[in-house]
Amino acid sequence: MTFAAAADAIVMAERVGYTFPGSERAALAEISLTFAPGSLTVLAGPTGSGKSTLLRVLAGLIPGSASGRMEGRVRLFDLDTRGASSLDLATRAGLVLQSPDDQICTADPVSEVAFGLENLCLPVPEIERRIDQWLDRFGLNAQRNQATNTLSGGQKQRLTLASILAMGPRLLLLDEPLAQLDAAGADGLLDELDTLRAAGLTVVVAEHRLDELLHRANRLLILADGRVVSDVPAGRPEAIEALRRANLTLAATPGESQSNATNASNTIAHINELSFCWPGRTQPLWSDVGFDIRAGECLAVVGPNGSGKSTLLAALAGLVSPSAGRIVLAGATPGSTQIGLTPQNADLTLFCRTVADELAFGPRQLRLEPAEVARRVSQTAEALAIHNLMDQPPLALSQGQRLRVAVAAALTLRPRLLLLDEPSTGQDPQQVCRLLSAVRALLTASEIGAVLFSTHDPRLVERYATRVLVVAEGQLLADCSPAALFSDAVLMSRAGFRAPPAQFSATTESSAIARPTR
Amino acid sequence: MSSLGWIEMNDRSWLARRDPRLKLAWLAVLSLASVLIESRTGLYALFAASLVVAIGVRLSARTWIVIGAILATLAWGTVLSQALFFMGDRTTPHITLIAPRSFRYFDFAGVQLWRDGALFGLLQSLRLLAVTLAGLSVCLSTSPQRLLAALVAVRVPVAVSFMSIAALRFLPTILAEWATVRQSCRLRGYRPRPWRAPWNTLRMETALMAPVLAASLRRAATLATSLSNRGFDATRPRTTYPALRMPRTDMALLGMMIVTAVTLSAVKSYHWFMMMNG
Repeated sequence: MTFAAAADAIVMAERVGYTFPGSERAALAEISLTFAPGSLTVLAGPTGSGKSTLLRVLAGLIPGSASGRMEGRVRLFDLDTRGASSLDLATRAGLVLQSPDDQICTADPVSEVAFGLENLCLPVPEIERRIDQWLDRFGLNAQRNQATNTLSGGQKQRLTLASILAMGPRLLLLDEPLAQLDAAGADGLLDELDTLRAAGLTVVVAEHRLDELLHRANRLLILADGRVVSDVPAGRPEAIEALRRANLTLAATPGESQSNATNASNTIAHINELSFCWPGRTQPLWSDVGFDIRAGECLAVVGPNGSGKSTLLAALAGLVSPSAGRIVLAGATPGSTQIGLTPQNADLTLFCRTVADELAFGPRQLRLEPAEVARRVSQTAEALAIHNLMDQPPLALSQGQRLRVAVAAALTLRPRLLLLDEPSTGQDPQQVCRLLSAVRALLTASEIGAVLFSTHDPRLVERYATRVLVVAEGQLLADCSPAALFSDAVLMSRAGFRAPPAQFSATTESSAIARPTR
Repeated sequence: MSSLGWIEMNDRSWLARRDPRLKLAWLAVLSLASVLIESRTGLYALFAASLVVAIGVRLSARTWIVIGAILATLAWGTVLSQALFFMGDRTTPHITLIAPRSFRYFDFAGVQLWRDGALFGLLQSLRLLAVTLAGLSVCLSTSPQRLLAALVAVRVPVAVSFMSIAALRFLPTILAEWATVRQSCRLRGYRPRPWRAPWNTLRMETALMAPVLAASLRRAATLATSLSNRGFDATRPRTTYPALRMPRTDMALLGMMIVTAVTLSAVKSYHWFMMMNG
């Protein structure tokens, strides 16, 4: 498959604006852009800045299936997207959304790739040819008849991409494709995109993990409040400057430093030779995992996709039962609970009518005095900057706000151990930093005992972790300091991890865009 | 074998290799028979036929336990409702199969359970159990994609058949989310007290559905966008992959099913005609 046919064509947006139904504020305004064939453009911007909406506009899904108000026009190669059929759009632009799991509509990879090709009414031999081609290209041949709900996050991501590319689009739009991938998975995906671009495919990526992407891109677009505020070449120092101006790097929060105030004598949890095996499987996911968690610690759990990080957190929270070993938790203090958990999909912990009720729910269940409930709610809301949202329904808030409410709801219980499963998924760096800084402040003030979070983001490990647990190859590969992890290239490789890039780090002022160290 | 959460499919048995249109025909004939057959022996035979086919799917012991629980619940519901509301009201010809010796097993505060009603309910539940078991056999021996192709081939609208298959695909996800919601609620101190605080428990259990519903709505929006982006249009023709080809064995079985259905309908029509003419 080549994209040479698109060599003389471009994608063009002219004064595009869009307002969602029922909203007074424009999600996009006055956007005029062109994209050259074979280029890679990175869309950056804080959560809610309009990146995903812009991708939908470029794919022709807005105004097609949306009922809001759109201004301007988009020309997709030879086609005006207004009034174009879904089939015409699908053969020109492919959009891969944030959550691969929610886009997979069939039971196995073969059917998933075939789905779009069936819609194109291609003959069966051609469908078979493309299925073989794209499953092979994305390394999914061994899983071709495996149930899609048993694939790993990385495999699902590759499958959604294969099923879109099999339809032969000339423009590929990706919404946070790296969010759930480890370093090796991200590299593999980006290498594949480089190959496709060389064949003429135009790629636009909205992403928060800029450090892995910028050195490969031609252009950086920064959005804020639905407008393009910067449009610069990606490989130049001005790209970093533009990101700094837009507050999209991890600048140090004033007054913050990594706390080492651990209390070795005060062990919160003792995990002893823990093993876990999924029902019906013989090979354990991990075995003989043992470590202690001490008061004041902020632990990061890292490891490649599918290594069992989330399962380890689920076992600590009691969501799944380990097949062997013990978890011994030290006694909870009065008015607190043992463990607080914010799962990867934090929305699943929000069930009250208002944010205030959500935060008060736990303390009320503990039958605390109303004055104490109010104190905790107010203090936690202030710390996580959600005090102005107290009357809002939690599920109607933005993604970043929902995450903060979910974490705050766990924090009002003053848990001895707070578990955060990939808090950076779908969040911009500033949102995550605000959240983890607030959690660290409560930890320093001994309001909570210890924090354990899983992540693929080296910047978070560097900034917030006092200790790192590396879960890989079915075992606890290392229990070390962040510095020890970042200085051991072999360990990082086995952990599917990489050192934080200098230009995005909290501590350096370098403005050169360098390829990240694998 | 693939898993739908608590039950496992087997798409490798002899039955699984049959054409999915044949299986739909089997389901249709069995459903027709369950309506037409009234004799006790006939209903036993119907259930036995459904059971034999289900055994042919070669499901795991764990799956059989779940199926047993589903069937027992259905039978219990039918038996209980008939036992409660039977009240000796013999308005259908089916009850002529049961000896007219009604007496109460249980009578408290006006609620009565009737023996004849319970026996009648047990017999009637055979219709429901036979069809349910046949439906489960078809679903658990056919990959969703082949089932979709068969539904489209028998002229079920693509939008309806696709929605049914997509529901199967997301069932395990929704169950996993439901488990996460309940567990995270427990971690925040909630303990259901259905006996001590029934109203609060009911209110809370209802509230706990909100996050699962919200996640499902978001997922539905994402899925709709994804389908649209892949050119799906329920009103337009599309290729079926893999193409369905019915082998001779299946053709022969289909012929037998059609003959059975026609014969059964003819005999029943004759029976009704004779009854109407005294």
